[in-house]
Amino acid sequence: MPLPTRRLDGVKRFRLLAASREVLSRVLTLGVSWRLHAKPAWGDRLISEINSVLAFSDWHPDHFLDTAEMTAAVAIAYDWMDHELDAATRARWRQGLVNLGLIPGSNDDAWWVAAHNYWNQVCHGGMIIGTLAVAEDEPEVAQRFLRRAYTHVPTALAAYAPAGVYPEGPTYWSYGTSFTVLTVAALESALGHDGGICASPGFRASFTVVAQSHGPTGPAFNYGDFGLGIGRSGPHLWAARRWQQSELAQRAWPAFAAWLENPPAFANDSLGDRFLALALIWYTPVCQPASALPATCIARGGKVELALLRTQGDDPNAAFVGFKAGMLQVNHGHLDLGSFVFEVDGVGWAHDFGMEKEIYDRNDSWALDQESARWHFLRAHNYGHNTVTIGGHLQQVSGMARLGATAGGADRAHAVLGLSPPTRIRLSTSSAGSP
Amino acid sequence: MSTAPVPSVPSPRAAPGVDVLAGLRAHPRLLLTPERVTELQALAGGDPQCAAFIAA
Repeated sequence: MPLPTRRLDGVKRFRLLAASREVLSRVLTLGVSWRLHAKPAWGDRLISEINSVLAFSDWHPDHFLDTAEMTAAVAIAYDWMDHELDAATRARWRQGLVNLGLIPGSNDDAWWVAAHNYWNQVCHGGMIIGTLAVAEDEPEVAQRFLRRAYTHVPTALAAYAPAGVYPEGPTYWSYGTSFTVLTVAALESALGHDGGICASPGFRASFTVVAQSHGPTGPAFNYGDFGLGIGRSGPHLWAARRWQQSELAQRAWPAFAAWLENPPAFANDSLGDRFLALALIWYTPVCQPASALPATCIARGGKVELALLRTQGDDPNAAFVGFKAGMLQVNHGHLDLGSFVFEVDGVGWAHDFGMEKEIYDRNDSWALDQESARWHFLRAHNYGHNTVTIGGHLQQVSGMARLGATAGGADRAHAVLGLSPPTRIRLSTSSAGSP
Repeated sequence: MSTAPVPSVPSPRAAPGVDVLAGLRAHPRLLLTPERVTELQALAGGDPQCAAFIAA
């Protein structure tokens, strides 16, 4: 396997992100293996990986996710290999972290610093991990970056409030939350506290909402720009361990067990596998949970609301309905108010198409006004969703539809969503399997 | 679950005069502490799933 090179990928918008993620994956895998078994070859390769990326001219700060993920990778390697490096090498690595990662991230006016979305979580997370690695040698830099993060990360964490529905969909929940979990885990291991992050309203609940948004056949309710699924969710193992919620580990573990039975030759990073080694750090024996996840999840009050109803908690043949309400003007959102997914007897009968790849290749498809090119794509507008289209019109991006009356019980649940009067949708499940 | 949850501390910690690096531990301090390494090595001895995970 060749060492990383500074090669930008893309069609119209170029990125170093694939290289950054590959390095992060290698650092975590080699590093955890080396820390557990100390085979010299793993440590040697890890050192070679870092020496390669420190020779790059930059870590592509124009698209700062690329820099943030690379900074996290190099910082973790610097910390874990501390006792293996001589003083000159430590100084060279530290200087590289500062010059290529922290200095490019020091502009307080960068748009992501106070962003309301996952960019904030990923970029501050990378910078926090970078500063924690070099804190005793660069205390002023570390103090400044941590203060800035404590000020601005809550802006992004507000997205989870109040009920734990991440407006940008499960894929971006997974991306943003993975880095927030990394941030918390790094703060706790380095400083002994979480900076207050875990107390953010809705943050803890979001792990349950995401677990419950996966239907009995496996896929999640894929609203917004969403792919196949969140795959092997290390953050759920972290959450299960942190909050002693065995039911989250029990729900997440089968994906890991399947992987262990038949591991692929190469990790599939579209499923977040660069964090796979972290799942081992957060591993805890999966035991019978004290309580199962409830069958009904009504998450309301945020930018996006979800009704997730099923007849039996972990029965693969259960009936499952999920549908979406709330606002439309959210990053990575679609015109999908009222869109639903439906499964019963082990068959998915109604799914969401999820993301449209071409949207990512264009610069004009991110605006959220009514005239945006984003709404030219079938997968992004209401014609391509399981919802009513009224009078042949696109849904109004400024529109909002809140969940109405809901009820959840042991054998019957329902939720009502009012769209534009006089149209109303009513979906329900019952224990008889006749939603 | 064997580990007691760490309580979330109140924010903000960005107040002037607060040493936000108080309590900084020695290397290696990020994510995988030496104590956790010892725990995982012990777990792998008696937990087939953990052992399989490490082997993978």
